[in-house]
Amino acid sequence: MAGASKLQVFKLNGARVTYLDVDGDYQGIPGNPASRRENFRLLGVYLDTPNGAYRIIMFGPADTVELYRAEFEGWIKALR
Amino acid sequence: MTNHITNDVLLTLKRIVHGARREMRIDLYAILLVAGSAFGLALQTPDLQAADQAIVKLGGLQSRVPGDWKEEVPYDPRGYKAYRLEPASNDQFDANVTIYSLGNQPEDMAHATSDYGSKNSCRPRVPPWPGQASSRCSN
Repeated sequence: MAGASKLQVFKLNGARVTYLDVDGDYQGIPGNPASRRENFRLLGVYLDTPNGAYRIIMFGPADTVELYRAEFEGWIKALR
Repeated sequence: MTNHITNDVLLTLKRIVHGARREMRIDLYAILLVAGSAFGLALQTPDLQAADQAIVKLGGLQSRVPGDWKEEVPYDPRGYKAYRLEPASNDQFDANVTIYSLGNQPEDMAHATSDYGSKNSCRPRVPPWPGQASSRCSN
């Protein structure tokens, strides 16, 4: 995975959120480990609540992920 | 005398017909009420179901997913929820959002992630990220 990554950690209504943003070229996509995807992006959230932990991944072409990024972040931040 | 009897019969018939009409009217109102309620429910139920489906609950927290996310069966059987996002105009592939439940305790985590993370397993406790190689058993 070649590319830049950003990591943020913040609290959200009693949960701890670790937010990872990585873009680059991916070798091995879900369901097709041999396939290469260029200029893809992954937004990953590790949501650790007192009642369980979750991993939430948005994955796709960089432009498409950017198109939905604000919705994704808004949806996460709206968790109550 | 005959005339009087005829009038009585006519009067009785009128009352019967009037009563029947009133009953029919009441029946009609009842039918309309039931049909209207059923129609209203039929209209509302899919919306309510959709609204319920749009709310994702994660460990006591919940949030409504954006309306343009299309829910689908997770490709990965370890997935809890999955959504498909239409590609931007210049992109060839969809994007997707997948939610994995990792559980609360190590035992729950093992259960939630299928064969990943079981106590005697050499596999990792959580499923790999896209592109991440799964660990292999050394023995």
